[in-house]
Amino acid sequence: MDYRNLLELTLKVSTFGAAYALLISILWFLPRHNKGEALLEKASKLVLGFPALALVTNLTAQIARYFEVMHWPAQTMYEVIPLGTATGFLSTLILYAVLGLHKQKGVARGFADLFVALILLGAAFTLSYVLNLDPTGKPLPPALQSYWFSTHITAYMFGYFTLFIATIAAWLHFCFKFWRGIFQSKDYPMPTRKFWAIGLFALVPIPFGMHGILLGPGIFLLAGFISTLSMKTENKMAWFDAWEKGSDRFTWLIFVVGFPFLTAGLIQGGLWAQEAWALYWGWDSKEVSALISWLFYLVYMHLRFVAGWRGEKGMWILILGGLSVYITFQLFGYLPASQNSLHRYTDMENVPAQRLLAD
Amino acid sequence: MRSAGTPRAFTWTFKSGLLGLMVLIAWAELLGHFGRNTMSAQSDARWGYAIAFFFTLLPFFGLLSFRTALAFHFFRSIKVGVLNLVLIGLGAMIGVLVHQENVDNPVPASGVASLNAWEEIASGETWSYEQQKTWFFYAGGGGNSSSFRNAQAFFLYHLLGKVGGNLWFNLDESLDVNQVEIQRRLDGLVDHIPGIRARFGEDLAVAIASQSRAGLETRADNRRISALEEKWNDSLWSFFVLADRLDFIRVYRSDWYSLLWAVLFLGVLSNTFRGGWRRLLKPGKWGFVVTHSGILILVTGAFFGRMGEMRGILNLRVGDVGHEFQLYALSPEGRAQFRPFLGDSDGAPFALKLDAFRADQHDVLDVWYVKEGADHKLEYEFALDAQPKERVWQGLHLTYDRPISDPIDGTPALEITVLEYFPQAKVLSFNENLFPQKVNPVNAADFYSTAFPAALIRIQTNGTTLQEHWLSGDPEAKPLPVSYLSPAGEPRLLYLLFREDTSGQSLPFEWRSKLSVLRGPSTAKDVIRSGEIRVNDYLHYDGWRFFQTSHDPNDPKYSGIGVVYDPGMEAVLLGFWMVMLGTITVFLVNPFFTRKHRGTS
Repeated sequence: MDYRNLLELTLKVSTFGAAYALLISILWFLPRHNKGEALLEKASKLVLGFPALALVTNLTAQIARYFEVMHWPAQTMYEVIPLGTATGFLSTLILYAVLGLHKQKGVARGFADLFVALILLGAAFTLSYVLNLDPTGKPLPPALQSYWFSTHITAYMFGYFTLFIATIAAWLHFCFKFWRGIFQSKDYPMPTRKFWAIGLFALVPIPFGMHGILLGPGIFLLAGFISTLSMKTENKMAWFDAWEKGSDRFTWLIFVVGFPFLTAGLIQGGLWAQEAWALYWGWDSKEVSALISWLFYLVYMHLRFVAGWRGEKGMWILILGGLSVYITFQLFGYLPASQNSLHRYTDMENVPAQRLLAD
Repeated sequence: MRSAGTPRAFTWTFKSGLLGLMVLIAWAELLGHFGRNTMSAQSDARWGYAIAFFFTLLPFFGLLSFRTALAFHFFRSIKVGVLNLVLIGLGAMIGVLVHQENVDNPVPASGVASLNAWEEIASGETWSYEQQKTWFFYAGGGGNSSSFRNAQAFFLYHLLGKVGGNLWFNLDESLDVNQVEIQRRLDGLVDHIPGIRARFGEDLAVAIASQSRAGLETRADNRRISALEEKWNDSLWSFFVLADRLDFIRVYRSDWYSLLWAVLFLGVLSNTFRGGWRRLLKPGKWGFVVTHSGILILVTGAFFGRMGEMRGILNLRVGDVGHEFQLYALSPEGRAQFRPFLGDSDGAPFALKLDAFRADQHDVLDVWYVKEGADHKLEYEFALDAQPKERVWQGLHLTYDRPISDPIDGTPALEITVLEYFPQAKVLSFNENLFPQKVNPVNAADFYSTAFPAALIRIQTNGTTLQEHWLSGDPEAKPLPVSYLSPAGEPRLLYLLFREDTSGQSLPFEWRSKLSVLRGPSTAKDVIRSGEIRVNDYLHYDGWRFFQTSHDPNDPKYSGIGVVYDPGMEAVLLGFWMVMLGTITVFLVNPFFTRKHRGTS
């Protein structure tokens, strides 16, 4: 099987896994008997198998691509993004252990399954996008022929995709908070400012394309759907209290896993640039863009430690950090200062096949 | 415990901290303005600037002398530190949202003002050098992707295009991105893609479709962006003037941005070592200390680098000796500047000699399917703008021509395997058709040999017939004709040409130079250091770094050697490693030993 076939297989695993995890997750939020609970618990154990299987197929794809282009497959977006999804699957498995999701019971387990479902869904969207990109394999230009090429980009990808997961977790929190504020407004009234902020943010990512729609209105409406189902149960959305109490720790630990890799990616870029051009930091717009993302997380960390910005205040910064990472990774080419960037290796030359097109 | 008579120390809040930072920024701008003018102004005005500089500096010393605690607590305040990080981030955002000038060829100080004045008085005089340079940065040559106007229009076009598009642009309808028209043109591919997929594989088919769509859309977008440049010219010029005055087009070299880094340094310095040195010896603190010390070392190194660095290029041809190099930075009058090589250890001059150079191009295999044309001449079977070419390595297995009904898994009618591949080899003999018969590889260590590449390939057609052929990049060798029957039984003819890709469409595979450092007269006995440089692997000598930076496809003897003198480089690199390892220690190593993380509640 070649790279493309293996990516298609990973896409199928992710799509099927997302559907399965979402179904199990929804069942956790519905009323059930003891027997049903035991059955659901067994079914829930299978959920983690999907990111594990997707990791295997995705890594196999990357190995296949290595032999197709004879270099670390991280030059074009057709190669870099799947490298990112592979690190995302790996990160999911690590986070599952770090966050102790396998120990959760009841609705909390449903929340864990929903979390995995969203990651798999995000990966499926991402891979379906990748399969429409230009697949041309290109030789590495001399500047990219370095051992830093593999470590720098892989560290970044792990950091990026882990911090995307942190963004999803934080956003999920606000979405459920919003819907509880709607459905249980008497017991849990929500400040008007927060209400509008969440509602507005659901719309803000729409211009970012397919991923923005999934992240913004997609998760927002899904949380609304699950909340509606949950309201039909005896305890309504009482489970959210437990989540709210642990949400800060949850998102913080995801940050703890991702941030060192983001730092390593940033610093390795400097070390590599020093070897290539004897210029460790050229204020290139891609470098600066990456620095901005890093600063978001640095501010988040310091505000948590010294200014007591735990809980929702910090989670808003995590969401903004995720957007900043997305801009650096995918939208950097639109920034004014990117026109002269040295980091445009991944851009493909889009030359229409004039002689094959209709006149 | 604080005694009753001790005054309470001022506590810096986010608001007061922000105010303090703003005052400092304004102070730095004033100080920079007066300082630079003191250096550059004419003799009469110079005194005025010097006095202004002195009085601007005075409050700083006053604060340090009479309100030491206030100043100290300012830098030590974590809230001020976080605000400072936010401002550094905002400065960086300005840096990516506003097109930046070239630091080696900046916009002249008087350029913008004099262009404004020129416009106001509607002067008929020709533009000065400063005016021309400023205008070129602003507008380029029209549609110039590296100009300020184009970059900002490009950004606004894509940003506003996401939220309303045409409502903002109000452009002529003829410039609309006509998706129906683009789709109509793309529909032309429908007839060709199945044949290309079956012959060359799925990747080429997807590449053609993807590139064609993106290419047509990009061209339509570019036409609209050019129109917007003209339409918004007045607004963009006003923004440019403002960006120039606020140093937004040179953020990273501005006084206010430098000040933020100085505040960061002082903040980290005053916080890292607070609480006594014994505190720092605790194993749980090591990561913290290493990270923050790394930042201090890094910023210090960067400061010394900025003060004393020199960057430029040495243009040499094989055999040449260079005693001085050309700085990347031009003089204010736009002239090239040269600097001699002076050793760091004793200040004595030295020279650099280029002993050898070669740019190694990619070796590619052209696969040209041909057919007989209307006038019985052979022509390409596929009307592709660029015929497929394959990069070559030993073990490469290529497949072509599967049934059109099963283009993915069907049996290929043609398979090519590269059995042996030599990047440099000599053809010992050709047969009567000028196909290589005997080939000898050149010693792999001799990168500088100019011998051509060669490959032994096995061709398998229709699943059975096997042939082995040598192919060579030697221009004397002829393309190898191959014929077979397609899965549908039609005769096929193609030519295989193995060659070095000197088309200039892509960079060489790599390039290397052999250098010698000479002291005294340029003779062999004066060589005190020799080495080879390539991209990602430079030569370091007595404070100087020499790295491979360019070549000339039209002059195989020319090598462009980058020259860097940066006295802060080692400190910065040490700082980098410390920050990276310290962060890993804090977040990934410490939790394994402490079994809990400080940040968790």
